[in-house]
Amino acid sequence: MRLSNWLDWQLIVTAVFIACIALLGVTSSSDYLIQILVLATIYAAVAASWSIAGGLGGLLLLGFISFYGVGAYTNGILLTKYGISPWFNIFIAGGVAALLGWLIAAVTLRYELSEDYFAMFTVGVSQVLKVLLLNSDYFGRATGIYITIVKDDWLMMAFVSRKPYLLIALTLLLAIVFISYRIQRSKFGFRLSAVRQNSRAAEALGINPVKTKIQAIIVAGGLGGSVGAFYSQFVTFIDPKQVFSLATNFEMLLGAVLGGRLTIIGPVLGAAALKPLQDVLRGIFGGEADALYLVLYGALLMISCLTLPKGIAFYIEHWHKRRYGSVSKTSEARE
Amino acid sequence: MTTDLVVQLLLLGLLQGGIYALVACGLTLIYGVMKIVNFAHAEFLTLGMFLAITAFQTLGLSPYAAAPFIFAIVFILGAIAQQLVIRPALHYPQINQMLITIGLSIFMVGAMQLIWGPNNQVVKLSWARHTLDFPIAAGEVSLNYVRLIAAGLAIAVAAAAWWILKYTRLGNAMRAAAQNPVAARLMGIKVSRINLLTFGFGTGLAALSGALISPAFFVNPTFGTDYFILAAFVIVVLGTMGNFLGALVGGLIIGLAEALGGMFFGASMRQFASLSVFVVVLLFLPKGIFRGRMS
Repeated sequence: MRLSNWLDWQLIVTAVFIACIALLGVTSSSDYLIQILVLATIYAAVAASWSIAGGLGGLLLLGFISFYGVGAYTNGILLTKYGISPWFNIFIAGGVAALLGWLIAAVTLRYELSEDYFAMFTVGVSQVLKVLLLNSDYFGRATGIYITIVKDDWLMMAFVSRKPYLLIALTLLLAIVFISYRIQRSKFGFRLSAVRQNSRAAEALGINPVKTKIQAIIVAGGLGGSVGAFYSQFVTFIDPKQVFSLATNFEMLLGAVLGGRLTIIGPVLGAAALKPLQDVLRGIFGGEADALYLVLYGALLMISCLTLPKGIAFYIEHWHKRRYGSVSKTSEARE
Repeated sequence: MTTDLVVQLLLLGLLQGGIYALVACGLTLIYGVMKIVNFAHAEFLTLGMFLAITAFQTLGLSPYAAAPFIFAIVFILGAIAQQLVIRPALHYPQINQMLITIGLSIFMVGAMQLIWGPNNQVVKLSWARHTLDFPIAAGEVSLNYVRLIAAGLAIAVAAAAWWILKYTRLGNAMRAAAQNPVAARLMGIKVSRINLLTFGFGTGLAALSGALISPAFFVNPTFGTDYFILAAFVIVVLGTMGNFLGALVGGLIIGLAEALGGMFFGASMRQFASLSVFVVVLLFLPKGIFRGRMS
């Protein structure tokens, strides 16, 4: 761990940032603030998961909300119907979402289809999952699933206070950030960059691009599913329109893109900046805020894609290079 | 299920397919010429519906009289959007291009909600519920006039657009730019102007479809995303992205598939039928029914 290494620097700064948020949450007495912090953390965790496939892998995995929604429903069903503790469900949900990722990848990457098809297909899958769940009695149709919490129970991840959830959410985020860090330092991470930058050249060097892409989708999808499972436990009620919402989907991706989807710190920064913005707007404009927020973040999405195609973190990386003088090996390899 | 009901559902599916075809034509045209997947396409349809409502409520114009003006207005708006956000991104990575059109889509939903509000609205034509009834061997079939007219006009407009593409100088220039932008530029075609016209034309067609169906559907800002975008995507993939005729045929096929899907699984499962077709096409006809031919 050296501050002069860009990857190490990002991990350390992100960990410090997460610790600060934890401290802020623990000392705060405002439930409202903690609610916003938990949601922002969830968004950051989803954005960080997505960036493994969408950033490092360069895949157009646009309908990422499928994994999140499937994870949320996995916890909802396993907890309310079978009484399995959410602590386990977070991992089971990751497995179920990873399986979905494998299915999607197996259907779409078979013929090395055009990226455009892949993107549209993933968006389509999320909407069809929504329709399927809306029509299934087992999954509670449009009313969804309610999780009742009456008293504190550590074993069932049930807390009356909101504070423990913030700590769990931040731990989850830290774990995902750490996994992303490990991936970037591993052979798998280098295979991913190679495939992203030049799929044919990578293939010539003996890398199987399709396999690498499938692995990226499985990892990213699985992590997204775990976050979804935690989300359902936190909000205690889920319905298909909410956990498969395309608006939420793109909102989460915007965080990653705005922050910098090729970095570790970017998705965290993006979500930290965006999610509270919505609540500030709501405070100022009241009822019209939702429409205004859409206008604003649609505009932000377009402007940031046009003017900051590599995200805020790109500039931080530049600053880091100047500050520490040397170009680290990993960042040289990345672009 | 009785035969007349089946015939009725299939006919309704074909009528819906006609509308789908016109919406998908614009999408596939934009993709063919600019290689951009326009995720905001359905919002231009919604915009067309809202403009038809405003024209009806303030000027008393019927949607059919207002349709040409709506086409013109949205043509200009689409061209402006192209100039501002699509054109600068033409050489960016695909993910940025897609996120930009997604941003445009979100922006438009928000703007429409600010202007027209979040609630359902409809053009209240006095004869909107009238139906054309005719007997068939097994009973009677009744079709809604509004949908009949919408589908008929949609097919006619799509055919006209196809004729323009095939037999006018502008259409030839568009097809040339789609096939090889560099060569087209060398032949003296102003490709950036063609892009501008294509985007305006494609989004205009979506808005025109919106105007035609405005008496038949309640519209709110997310109408397009909820009911049209998935079908439009499936259609352009089915008909090979960029293939105009493919979008026409694909539209009718998806209309029928949704009608059949609704018949077997219930009306709310229609989108499931669309995606099943999507999966089957990806598995067995990955290049679409026209085997990858672009025009």
